[in-house]
Amino acid sequence: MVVRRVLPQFIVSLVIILMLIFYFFYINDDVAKTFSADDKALSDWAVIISSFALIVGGVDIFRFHLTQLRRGGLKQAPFSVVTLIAELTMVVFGAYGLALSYLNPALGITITTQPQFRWLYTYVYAPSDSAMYSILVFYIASASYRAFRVRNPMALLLLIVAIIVMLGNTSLGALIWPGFLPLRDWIMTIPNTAAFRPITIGAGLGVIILGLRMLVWREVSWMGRRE
Amino acid sequence: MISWEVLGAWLGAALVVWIYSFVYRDNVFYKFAEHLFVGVAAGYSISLALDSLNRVAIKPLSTNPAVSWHYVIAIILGLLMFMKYSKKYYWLARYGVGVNIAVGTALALRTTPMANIVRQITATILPLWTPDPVTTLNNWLLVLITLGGLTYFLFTIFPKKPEAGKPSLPYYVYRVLYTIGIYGMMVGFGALFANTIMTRVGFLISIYLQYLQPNAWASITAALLAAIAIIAGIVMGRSRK
Repeated sequence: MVVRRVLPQFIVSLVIILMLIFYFFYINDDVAKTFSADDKALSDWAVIISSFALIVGGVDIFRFHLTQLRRGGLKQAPFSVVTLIAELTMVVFGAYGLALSYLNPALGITITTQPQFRWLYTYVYAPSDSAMYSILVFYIASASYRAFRVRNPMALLLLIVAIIVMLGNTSLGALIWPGFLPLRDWIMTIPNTAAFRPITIGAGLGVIILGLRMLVWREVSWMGRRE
Repeated sequence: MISWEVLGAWLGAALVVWIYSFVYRDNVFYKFAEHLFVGVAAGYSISLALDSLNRVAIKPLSTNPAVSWHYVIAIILGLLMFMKYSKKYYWLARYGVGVNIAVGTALALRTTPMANIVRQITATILPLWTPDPVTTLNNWLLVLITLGGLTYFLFTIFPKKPEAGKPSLPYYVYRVLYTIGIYGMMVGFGALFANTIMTRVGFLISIYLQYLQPNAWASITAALLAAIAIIAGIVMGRSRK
């Protein structure tokens, strides 16, 4: 129980307190330098651990599709093979680039500049990513039809503002009426800023409360399954 | 001889069309493109993680171990995350997750009070009477909409309307602020909605500009062939049904 639940929570509280001390407390210049170095070290630790978390995520996808290969049947198996081969290929080229950066540094090749890796990124990842992201425009079109049906004054206001902002963002809007651009700028600077200010304050309060809950061991959902 | 760039343009164009074919209905081409994308994206994430590990931990450890020795602890904590696959020792992964969450929480606790609360409040404390009427109107709007939004979100204890007689002054004040808050937020959401649409449309256009234009003929031919293949696939699928 102690090593499974208490010690991890204790480490969380300890690291939070240490990082808050490093940031807010000033004793003298030497101590401040040490605090700054320790603070950077802890931030680097988080980067290192996050990198491992990304790798764990990749391994999870690999394991999932291996299972699909065994149990998914003929309908799913070919697609899982595509995912597995694509993931492996990308990792192999990336690792090859990393190895080259150590074995032959004169070439100046790293993971992201390895030619095959770059090719896969430029011609497979980048267009697919953009297409996946932009495909949502069609769903937004249907969502906007529902949202823009004027049923009350609030919906009418939302519709008018959305039309002004959209026209203000395009050159067509400026051709129709030159005032769309300054009107859009005013909407974004005054009412939009004011509307999102309370949301920002509310989110800030939420973050502080969550942090305090972590500090006093009230928030345990991050530990996953219960014993 | 077809160069790798032209082949890439063909593949990129085909992938875009295959992914867009989902707008009509789910089909085998979309599934292929989707699974290829998932695989490549996962591999890309792993490679980026390796790159980051190399830059932040491995290189400092190999060049200056006397100063960077403590990164070994972080590497061990990171490796412990793989214990989540063990039924017996899954709890060891909590140590790595714990440190990460703690650093994230501490960073948020350090910056949020100032950025999300104090600065927002100080930015709202504005002069309500100025020589310039436009500035005065803007300041009034900023203050009232912010107060209205706060009334709507945070001060959620609404003064009750008496069953008989006139409602109290706080009731009216609260009601007015509440309504201003809702209307202000509608303006904000309208602007957000419009910006989201414009971003997505921008991506749609950028696909053509970035990936299809450099090898226009190859790309257009590939896109047409991919579209024909999709239509043929859908027609064949229908006739089989």
